[in-house]
Amino acid sequence: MEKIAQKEGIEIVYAVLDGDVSGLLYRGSNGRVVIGVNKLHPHTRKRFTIAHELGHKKLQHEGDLFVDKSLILFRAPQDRGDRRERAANEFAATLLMPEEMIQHELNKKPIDLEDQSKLESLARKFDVSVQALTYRLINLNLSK
Amino acid sequence: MNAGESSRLYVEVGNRIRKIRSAKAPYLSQGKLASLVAISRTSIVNIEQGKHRVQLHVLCAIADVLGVTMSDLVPLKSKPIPARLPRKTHSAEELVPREEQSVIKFIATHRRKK
Repeated sequence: MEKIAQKEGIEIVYAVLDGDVSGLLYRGSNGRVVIGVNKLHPHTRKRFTIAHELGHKKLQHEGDLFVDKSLILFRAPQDRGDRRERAANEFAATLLMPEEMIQHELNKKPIDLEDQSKLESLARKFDVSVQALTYRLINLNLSK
Repeated sequence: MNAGESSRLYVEVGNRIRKIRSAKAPYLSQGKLASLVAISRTSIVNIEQGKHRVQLHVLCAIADVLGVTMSDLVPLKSKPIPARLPRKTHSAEELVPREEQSVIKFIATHRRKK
């Protein structure tokens, strides 16, 4: 994930950020783009954060600074929320868990969200949190 | 104006009211100001802290009592509200001060290329 962002010319900086702040995207005046990632957060969340912030850039969201807090990352899409945040989340989810790859893993069988061990092993494969995976599966209608 | 900017606007309005009020001679207490504009002292306290979004007619009365104009109390758009973060900050949720400080610190540290 870090490499993808770097290929986009983005600098990734891991730093301690306070409270619930999971990450930020900062645009400098000279066109420089920095993604700050809260280094206190778990590995999977950091990946999601980078993907999410990358989304803000790739989707050409306007603004000099985007600050994202943990909670919003996993807000269900039907909840009202900021359009740009939802778009960045969707971008991140698609990048981290491409639909075809999930379909392939599931072998056309919808997954039972109660089946914790199955969810955990799939989450490990995609290197995402179970929570992020769960939302993705619900959104793709691949759960039962 | 996003949520953060509008919050800062009320904080700034409150700061201006407090500054002008406390510089009054003879001293004008929050309680005295409150009774002169016919609102509760708690409301004045909250307005000065920017917690209460002051209504236009109340602001008008406050300006009258303070002997200033409304435009002395409201920052103009051409004069940016003293933003602690860049003006075009977009935050999904309101940041608590502690979080805001850590973001400011981050930007200050990483503003320049190493």
